[in-house]
Amino acid sequence: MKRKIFWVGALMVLFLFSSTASAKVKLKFFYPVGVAGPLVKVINGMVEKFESENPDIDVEPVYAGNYNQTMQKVQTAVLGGNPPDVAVVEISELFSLLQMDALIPLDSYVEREGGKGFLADFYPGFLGNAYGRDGKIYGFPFQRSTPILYWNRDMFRAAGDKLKAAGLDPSRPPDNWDELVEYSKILTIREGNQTKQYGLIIPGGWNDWIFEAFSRQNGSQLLKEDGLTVTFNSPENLEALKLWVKLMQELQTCPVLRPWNITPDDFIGGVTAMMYYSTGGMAKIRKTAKFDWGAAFQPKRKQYGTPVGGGDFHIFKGIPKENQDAAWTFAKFMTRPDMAAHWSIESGYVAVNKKSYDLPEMKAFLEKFPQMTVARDQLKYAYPKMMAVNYQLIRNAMTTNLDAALEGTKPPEQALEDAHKLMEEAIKGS
Amino acid sequence: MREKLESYRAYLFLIPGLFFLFLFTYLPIIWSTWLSFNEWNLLSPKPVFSGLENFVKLWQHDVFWLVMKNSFFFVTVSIFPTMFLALVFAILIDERMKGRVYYIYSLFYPTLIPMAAAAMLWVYIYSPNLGILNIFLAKLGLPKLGWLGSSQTSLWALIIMTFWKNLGFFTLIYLAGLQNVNRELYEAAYIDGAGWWRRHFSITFPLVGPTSLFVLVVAIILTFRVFDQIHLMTEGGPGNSSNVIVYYIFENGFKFFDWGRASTLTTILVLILLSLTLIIFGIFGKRITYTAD
Amino acid sequence: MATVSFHYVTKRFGNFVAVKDFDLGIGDKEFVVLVGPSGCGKSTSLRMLAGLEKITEGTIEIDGRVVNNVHPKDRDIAMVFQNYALYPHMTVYKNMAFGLQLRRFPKSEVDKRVHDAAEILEISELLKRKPRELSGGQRQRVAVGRAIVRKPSVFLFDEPLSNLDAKLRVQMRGEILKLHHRLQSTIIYVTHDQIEAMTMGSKIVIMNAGEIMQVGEPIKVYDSPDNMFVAGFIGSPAMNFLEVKLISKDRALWVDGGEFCLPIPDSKGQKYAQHKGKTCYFGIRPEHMYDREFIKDYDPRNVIKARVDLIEPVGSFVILQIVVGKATIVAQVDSHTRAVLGEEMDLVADMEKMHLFSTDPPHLSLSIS
Ligand SMILES: Nc1ncnc2c1ncn2[C@@H]1O[C@H](COP(=O)(O)OP(=O)(O)O)[C@@H](O)[C@H]1O
Ligand SMILES: [Mg+2]
Repeated sequence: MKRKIFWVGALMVLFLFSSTASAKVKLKFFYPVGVAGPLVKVINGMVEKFESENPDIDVEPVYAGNYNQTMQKVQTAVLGGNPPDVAVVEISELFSLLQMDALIPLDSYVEREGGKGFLADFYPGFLGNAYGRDGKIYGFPFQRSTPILYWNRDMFRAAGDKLKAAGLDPSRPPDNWDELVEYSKILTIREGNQTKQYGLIIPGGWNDWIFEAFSRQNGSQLLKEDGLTVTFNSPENLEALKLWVKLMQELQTCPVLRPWNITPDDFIGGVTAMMYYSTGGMAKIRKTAKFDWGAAFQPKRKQYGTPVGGGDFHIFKGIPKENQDAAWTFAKFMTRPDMAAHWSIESGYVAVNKKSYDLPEMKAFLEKFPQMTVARDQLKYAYPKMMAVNYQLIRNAMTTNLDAALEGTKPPEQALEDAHKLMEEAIKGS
Repeated sequence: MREKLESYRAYLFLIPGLFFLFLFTYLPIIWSTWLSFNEWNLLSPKPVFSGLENFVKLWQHDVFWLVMKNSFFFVTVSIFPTMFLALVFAILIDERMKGRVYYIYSLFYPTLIPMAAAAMLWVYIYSPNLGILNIFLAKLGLPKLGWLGSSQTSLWALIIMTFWKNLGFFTLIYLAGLQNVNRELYEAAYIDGAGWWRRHFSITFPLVGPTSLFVLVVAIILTFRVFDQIHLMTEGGPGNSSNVIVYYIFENGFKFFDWGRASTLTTILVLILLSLTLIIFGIFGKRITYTAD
Repeated sequence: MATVSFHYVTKRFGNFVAVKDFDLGIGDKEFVVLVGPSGCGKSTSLRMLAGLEKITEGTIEIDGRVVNNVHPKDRDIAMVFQNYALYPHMTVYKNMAFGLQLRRFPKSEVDKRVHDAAEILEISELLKRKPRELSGGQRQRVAVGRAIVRKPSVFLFDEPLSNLDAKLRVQMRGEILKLHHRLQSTIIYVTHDQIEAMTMGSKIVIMNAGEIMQVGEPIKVYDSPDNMFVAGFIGSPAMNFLEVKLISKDRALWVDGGEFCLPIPDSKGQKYAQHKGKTCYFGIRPEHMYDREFIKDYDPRNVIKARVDLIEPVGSFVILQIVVGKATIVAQVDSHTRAVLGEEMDLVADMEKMHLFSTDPPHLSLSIS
C-alpha cells in the first residue's frame, strides 16, 4: 500500500515538472460563426496547421456561438479576470472592448513586421474598423465580409419573358433600387393566398447592417465615425426604410424578418429569387445550390455603398507577454496570403490579404467561381461599419425599431425617431 | 446531556451544506439586491449608490412592461395545459395503455435531449418556407405563419416549444405522484360504476393534489426562468416580442453591460417568485388532501 | 336473491396459471369462504367474479346469467377490499354515497340509505369525518357500509379483517355474521385464516396453488378431509402425519410406524382393507391424542411411547412436541399434564379419529379411493 502511494506521488511530481519543463504557450482562442455553414471545421483545420508549424504554441479554439454570443462570452471572461488570449469579435464591438480596457494595441507588432509596408498588404476597407479613438490599432482583420446580392439565374431565366416585357434584362440582376422593386415584383410567384416564390429576401437578425448599406447607397449613414453623432433619422434613411416597408408590407415581394441563419437555406431551397446576405455564406451556397446563381453589388441609389462587416482579431490585456506574442504570431499566420486564401475559399469571406489573390490556387478558384470576386470588388465602395461604445444597446435600439417598422406595427418615421433617441441616450456620456 | 451532544453534532454536519447554500444562494441574492440600488454599467464602471433610480427608470421603460407582460403571458398560457396533459399522460402510462412504449419515448425524448439541440431542431421546424410546420399548414390550406420571425407568433412559438420540451419532465413527476394513489381506490370506483374520466376526475385529480402543488410551483419557477431557447431561437425578437424577464436580465447584464439594471430586474424576479410561491401555498397548502393514512 | 356459479374457470397471467379449473356453485344466501395459503388464487377468483380481472377460460354466472363480459357495475355486486379502499379526500358520508350518486339515485334516497347503513354499523356520528380521522375498526365499518348501501345481491369480501388486531378481528367476525343474517344476501368471503373460515363460512372452499382442494361445510371438511393438504391446512395445531405401513395382524389392520404399531378400529377397517401392505401416511390431529394419565377407558394397544421435546402451556390445554422415532409430532393434552421435558411419556391416540393418505401426490384420503 505504502509503495503504491509512493509511486503515485512520484508520478505526480514528474507530471508537474514535465508540464512546466516543456513550457508550451497555451492560447485560448474564442471565435464566432456569424453565417450559415460548417465553418468550425475550417477553423479547427487552420489551427492544426498553425500548431504543426509552431510546435511551441498550443491553440485551444473555442467556438463561442454567433457574434452576439461570442461578444458576451468575451466580455464575461474579461470581467471575470480570465480573458481569452485572442478572440475574434464583431467589428462594431471594438469601442466597448476598449471602454472595458480589455485590449492591447498592436502597433508595436505591426511596427516589427514593417509598419505601413506590412499593412499595405491588407485591404484598407477592412482596416477602417481596426483603430481606436486614440489612433492606435487594436484589431486585425480576419473573417471579413460585406453584404452582397445573391441572385438565382435560373429563376431570372424562367421569368425571362415577363422581365423583358417590363423592359428588364433577365441576364443581369437589378442595379438600382427602382429596378430592385421591379425585378422583385415580377419574380414573386403567388398561388392563391400562398407565396410560392419570393422576389427577394432582406433577412432579419442583422437587418441593421444591411440597412446601413442602404443608408450608404443613399449617401447617408447611421452614426458618424466619431461614434457620437447619430444620424439615424436622416431623410435618406427614411427613404430607405420606406422602401423596405414597401417591399415587405405593400408589395409583399419580400418576407418580413426572415431569420438570418435560415435565409441561405431559403435561397438554396428555391424559396426566393434574390437575397441580401453576407459574402461569408457563399461557400455553403456554392456547395449546395443546385442551380445557376450569381452574386452582385448591392443595387445603388445615389451610389454603390456598403459597410464592411465581420470580425477582427483582438489580443487581450491581463495575460502573460509570451501569450500576447504568441497570439500575434497566430493572428499573423491566420491572415498571411495562403491562409487567408484558404479561409476565403472555404467560407466565402473576402481574403483580407491582397496577396492572396496573386496565388495560383486562388486564381484558379476564382476562375471557376467568379462570384467570389464580387465582395472584393465592392470594397471600392465600402465604408467602415459604425462603431460605438455600448454598441449592443445601440444595435438593440436599431433592430427592435426596424423590426417594428417592417412588421407594420410602427410607422417608419416613428421607428427612426425612437431608435435615434435611444441611440443618443446610449451614447450619452461615452 | 447526550441528546444535546447529538443535536450539536447534527448542526456540525449541516455546516458545510449551509456554508455552500449561503455562499452560492443567499450571498448572490443579497449582493444583487444591494446592486439594485446602484448605478453600475459600462459608462459607470464602479457601483455608485443611486437609490431607487433603477426601479424608477424601469418603471418608465416600455420594454420592461412588455417583458413583464410576455413573462406572465408565457407562464399563464403554458402552465395549465402542461399540467393537465402531463397528468393525463402520466395516467395513461401508469395504466399501461396500448402503444405506451411509443408514447413514453416521444414524451421523454424531448426532455432528455439538451436544450441547444432542441432549439436547433425547432428553428428548422419553424422555418417559414421549408419547415414542416408551415408545410403542414399549407397542406391544410391554411396561411403560413412567420413563427419565430413574426412578433405576432414568436412568443407562441417559444411557448409551444417549451411545452414540448417540459411535458415529459412533469409527466415523470406525476407518474411518481400516482404511485402514491392506492390502486384499490380505482377498483372500488370501477365497481361503483365510475367511468374513466369520472374515476380520474373524482379520485386521481384530488389525490395528486400535493404533486400538483409541487408541479405548479416548479412549473411557475421554471417557466419564469425560460432562457436558453430564447437565447438560441429568437434573442427576444423580433422587436422584443419574445423577450422575457430572465432573457432581459441577461441582455442588460451581458449585452448592454448595465449591471445595476440587471440586478434590479433580478430583485424584481425574486420578489415575484417569492410572492407567487407564498400565495400559492397560502391558498392551496392547507386544502390539499394527503393520501397517507 | 342470487346464486353464483363458476364453470371450470381458469386465469392465466402470461404463462403463469393463477387459477385452474375453478368449478363451484354457490346457493342463494350462502356464506361461502375461500380459504388457502397466500398466493393460492383466492383474490384472483374473487376479482374475476367482481369483473376486475378478465376470465381466461370458463364462465361465471350470477343468477344464471353469464357475466364474463358484463361490466362490474352491472353485476349487482359490492366488494370490500383488504385495505378498505376508502376515498381519502371524501367524508365518510361521501364515501358511502359515491356509488349511489354515480347511479343517479335521488338525493333523499341516498341520504336515507347512508343513514340506515350508518345506523346498522353504528357509525352515524362519524359521517362528517375523513378516513384518516378514523380508527382501523371504524374504517372497516365504513368500507362495509359503502358496500351495503348499494343493496347488492352478492357481497364480496377480500381479507377484510387482516389489517385489524386480534381482538377487533374476533368482534368484527361476529358483526359480519350478524349482518349476513340481517341482509340475507349471498356473501363470498376470502381469507387465509382457517379459523376465520371455520367460524364464518356456511360452506368453505379450500384452495391451493390455484386449484380447489375441497368444498364443504366446515365441520365436514374438518372431520373428513379429502386430502392431506386440507387435513393439514384445516385445524390448529395442524394434523400430524407419520409414514406407516398397513399390516394385518390378529385379524385386524394395523398401522405400523416402526416405533409404534396401532390397530385400526373395525368401523374403519373395511374401508382400508384393500390397501393392506401399502406404505401410506397416518394422520392424527393433536387434539385426538391424550395424556394416558387423564383418561379412564382406553385401549392399551393405542398407547404410543414418546419423548417430550417441548412443553407449551396455553392455558386451557398444553401443547407438547414429542419425538417418536425420527418424527416429531404435536399433541394437545390436558392442562394439568405432568409431562417432563426430555422424559418418556405415554400418549393415547383416538383411533376412531385417524386418517390415512396415499403417499402419491395429491395424497388423497384412502377412505375415498
Ligand atoms: N396481475 C397479476 N399479474 C401476474 N401475476 C399475478 C397477478 N395477480 C396475481 N398474480 C399471481 O397469481 C397468484 C394468485 O394471486 P392471488 O389471487 O392474489 O392470491 P391470494 O390467494 O393470496 O389472494 C399469485 O401467485 C400472484 O402472484
Ligand atoms: Mg389476496
